[in-house]
This record gives sequence, C-alpha cells and structure tokens, in this order.
Amino acid sequence: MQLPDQLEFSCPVKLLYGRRALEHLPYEFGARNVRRPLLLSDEDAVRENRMRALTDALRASEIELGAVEPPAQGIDLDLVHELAAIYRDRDHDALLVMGGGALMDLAKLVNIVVSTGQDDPAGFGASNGIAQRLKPMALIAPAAASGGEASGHVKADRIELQSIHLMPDLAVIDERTVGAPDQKAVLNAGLTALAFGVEAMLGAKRNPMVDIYAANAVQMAMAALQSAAEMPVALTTRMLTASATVMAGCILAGKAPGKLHRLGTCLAATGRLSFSEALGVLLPAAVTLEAHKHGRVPARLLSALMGLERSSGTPVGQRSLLAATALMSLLNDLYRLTEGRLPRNLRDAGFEPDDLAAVCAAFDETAGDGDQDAAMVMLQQALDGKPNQSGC
Amino acid sequence: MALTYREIKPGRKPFKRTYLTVMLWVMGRAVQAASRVDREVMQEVSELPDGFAFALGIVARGPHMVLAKREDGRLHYLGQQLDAAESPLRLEFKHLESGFLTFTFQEKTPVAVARDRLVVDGEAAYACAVVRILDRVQVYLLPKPLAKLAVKRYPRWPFIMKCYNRTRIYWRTLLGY
Repeated sequence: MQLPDQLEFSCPVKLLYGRRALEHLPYEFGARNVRRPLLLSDEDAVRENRMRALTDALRASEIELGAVEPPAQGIDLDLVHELAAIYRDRDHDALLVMGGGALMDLAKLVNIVVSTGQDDPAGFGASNGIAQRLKPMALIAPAAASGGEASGHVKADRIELQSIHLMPDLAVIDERTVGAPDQKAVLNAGLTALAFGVEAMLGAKRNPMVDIYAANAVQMAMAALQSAAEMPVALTTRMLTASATVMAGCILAGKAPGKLHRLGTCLAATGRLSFSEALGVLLPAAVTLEAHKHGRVPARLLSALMGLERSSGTPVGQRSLLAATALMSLLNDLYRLTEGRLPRNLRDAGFEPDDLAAVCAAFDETAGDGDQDAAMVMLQQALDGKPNQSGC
Repeated sequence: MALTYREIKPGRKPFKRTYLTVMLWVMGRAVQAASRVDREVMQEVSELPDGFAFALGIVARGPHMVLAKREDGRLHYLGQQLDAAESPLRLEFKHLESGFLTFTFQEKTPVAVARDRLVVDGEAAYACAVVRILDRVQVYLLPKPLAKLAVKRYPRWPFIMKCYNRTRIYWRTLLGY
C-alpha cells in the first residue's frame, strides 16, 4: 500500500447503530453533560410517531426534552433566531435532530448562533471559519436523508459554510426511528451516499482512512439500492441507507465538495432533477473521466461496487470500464424499477445538448478553478449516458 | 407562523426498575452464598485483592448490587447503595432497558457486551473474574433452559455436585449468609 506523504482525517461523529440503539442516548448525553436537549423534528417523524420511541428510550433517565417542529418550508434567519431564542430562554444545553435534509441544516445554523453568540452565521466565511467547538448535537438519522446530515456542511438560502465543528457528535440509527419513507426517497438517499463514496475514492485528497469510510459507504449504498425493489422497502434496506448516508457525511466532513458534488448542485439548480438524481446521472461520467486522468480506477472501488471476486478477476486495464458499466446498469435497473421516475441520463430529465452550456457556465461561476472543460465532458457523457472513451 | 414549543418529561419505568432491584438483590445474595459453597468461585475470589469490591447495576441512579471481599476471603453482599463500598469496580448497564433485556434472558451477557450495553469502570482483568463468577452463579440459580439463555456456554457439571451446591446456594441466598 502506498501512503501519501501527508494526510489529514477527522471524524468526530460517534455512530450508534442497531437494535435499541436509542437507549444509548441517555448515557452518551450524560457523558457530554447534557441534561436538557432541544428536539427538532420534522413532519414525517411526527406523522410516523417516531417521537414515542425516543421518549421511551429517555424514560428512567435524567434527560428532559423540549420539542419544536419547525415548518417544512425553507430556512430563513428569522426562524434560526426564533429557535435560538427558545434554546436560550428555556435553558437547553444541546440539540437533538430527528429528521434530515433542511432540518439538519437548520439545526446546524441554530447551533452556530447559540454557541458563538453571532447572529449572522454567514459572517464565519464559507470554509472552516468556525474556530470553536459548538454545543453538543445529536442526529437521529432517517432513511430518507440528503447525505449531508452528518457532514460539516450547511447550505441554506444565501449561507454556505463548511467546518468540522458542524458535524454532529452523535448519529443514532435505530430501527424504530429510521422511518418508512417511500421507495424513491430511499433510492435518492442511496444514490447520494453512493456518489459521495465514489467521489471520495476517486478524489485527489483520498487517503487510507477516507478509503475505508468511502468503500463501506459505497458497499452499503449498492446493497441498499439493489434491494430497494421490494415494496414496502424492507427495514434492513432502510437501515443500510441510513448508515450509508451517515458514512457519506463523515467522508465529506468539513472539506470543500468535489467536482461531482458541485456539478450535481448546478444541475439540480435547474429544477429538472433533484440533487441525488443529478449525482446518479453524473456518476459513470465521473468514473470514466478520472480513469482517463489517472490511467485507472482504484481496485477497492471496483470491489466495493461489484464484490471482491469479480474485482479480483478483472485486469487493471478493464477496471474503469467495468466500474462505469456497473453504475450505468444500476441506473438502468432503477429507471425500470421506478417506471421512469429516476432518470438514467440527462435526456430522461428533459435536457437537450443546448442546455449544457448554461449548466457549465453556472459551474464555472461556483468553482472558478478552470475545471469547466472536465465539467462539459461529464455533462456530454451524462446527456445520453454514453461512455466517452477518449475522456476529452 | 409561530413555533409551538412543548416540554417532554419522559417519565419512569417503575415495573422494570422493581424487577431489576429484586433480581440484583437475589443475585447479590447468591454470589455471597456461592463464594462459600463453590470451589471454583472460592478460587476466583481468593485471587482477588483484599478489600476488593464490585458493583453490578444500572448507570446513574439505577439499582445496583454491591459486594466486597472481606478478611475471611469471602464475598459479602453490602446492599444496593453504591456508597456501601469505597470505589468499587463498576459493571453497569447503560440503560434500564439494557439491564432488563439481560435479566429477563432476552439477551445473553456476552451479546449485551458485544452490543455495547455494558460499561466497566475499573480493572478489566478483575471485571473478567467477576463475570466468570456471575456466570457460575447464574448456572446454579437458574433452571437449565433459562441458564442457557443467560450464559455463553452451559457447563457440564456432575449432576450430584450441581444439585448439592444449588440447594446450599438457594438456602444460603434465602437466609442471607
């Protein structure tokens, strides 16, 4: 194994997974001197009565909860300030989030405000501007996650921040609180985790520690995506998806998002497909492009995607082709399974060749690192889902 | 839209707490009895340092059983209060529910350890000795089908020896000596 000259890896998230994992929460809170967490829950958690499992797990402990259900529509600073005021006035000492996506972003912003005393989180700057540890935060991870819950990223309205301190201290995955979302939500979460994992294994900043997390996230996401055909989605699949998204968040940590992530954001901004769908469509292209750049893809990526036996029987020169093919055939299967609701390529999402330049320009604006040529190659390949053998 | 804030006081689990209190009381007295009856337990206890004390229970304010080794080389049951002994080795379940799973034999002790439900505060080598003692006591106390659920491997002991020791341990547990 070749070790890089210098590497950095940090993961402050403690994962509590499995049967009755919620029961560990009072002990973990006790270890962090938490007595009165403020619970933020989303509509799904309330509708599916997941709160009951939580209160049951906290019974016979010293923990007292305050609970708020913030509205589902977007995050604005007034809402953040209102929640911060509740946190302070009611003497809370930690945040507990039951749900994912925007709710977790909201909790991260509230945590910045209550921990630092700064009313405008945007003042910290986009990258690693938060120098201090924040209040303890625990995530009760759902299966229908956005993938960024356990990461150190927050994106809301005009605010975009990255810091290792934004990662939750605890992530709990319990069969009673993982939720019962519809098939598409589980597939979206799985695709996001898969994309984060694959990008981490291809990226320039990969190191042995990142590889371990990423390979596991890819394996779990692949297993979840392949078994999500059952209806209703099986509990094991939902648990796998939740674990994969938490691991994906840990990979992302507080680092700047990669090319695939940024291009996916630009595609999603067009409104024709979701962020996870965009990542899925771009994945084969990303693998092909990286293979052309570096000559091959890591063996570990292929084994995570297709299993050790098939990976070890594949010559080095065929790995990239096989990895891209595995991803393309996965997308085709998901397209068939969802009766066309999950796109295989950009055309399925309604894109035409003329639309790509605008997406590429938007990418250039956000990145500004001269990567727009690579972005255009990826978009062109993703348009028809056709492997670009030349890589340029 | 105004946010609705609710205070939630999760409450107690009186039945499970009472059950565990009774189980730990019986277990504590049975360990005390076994340290006078069973040769293996006597041997384990003799290798523990003088004045050694341990507590098994539930974290925070949950029920406990506290035992200590006295000058006579035997274990003595000191009651349910943690302050009954000075800085005992603590084997504690993280949650009342975790203790309940183990003490109702839904989950074996090694499985509970594997699922990270138990914490040990003290010397790990002594904790292993205590677990071995507890395993033997459970085999004496429980009928075979239940004991099989509680311990990792059910031992093969001579039938007469098991019945004789079991009777003595039951008797001593009831009378508390």
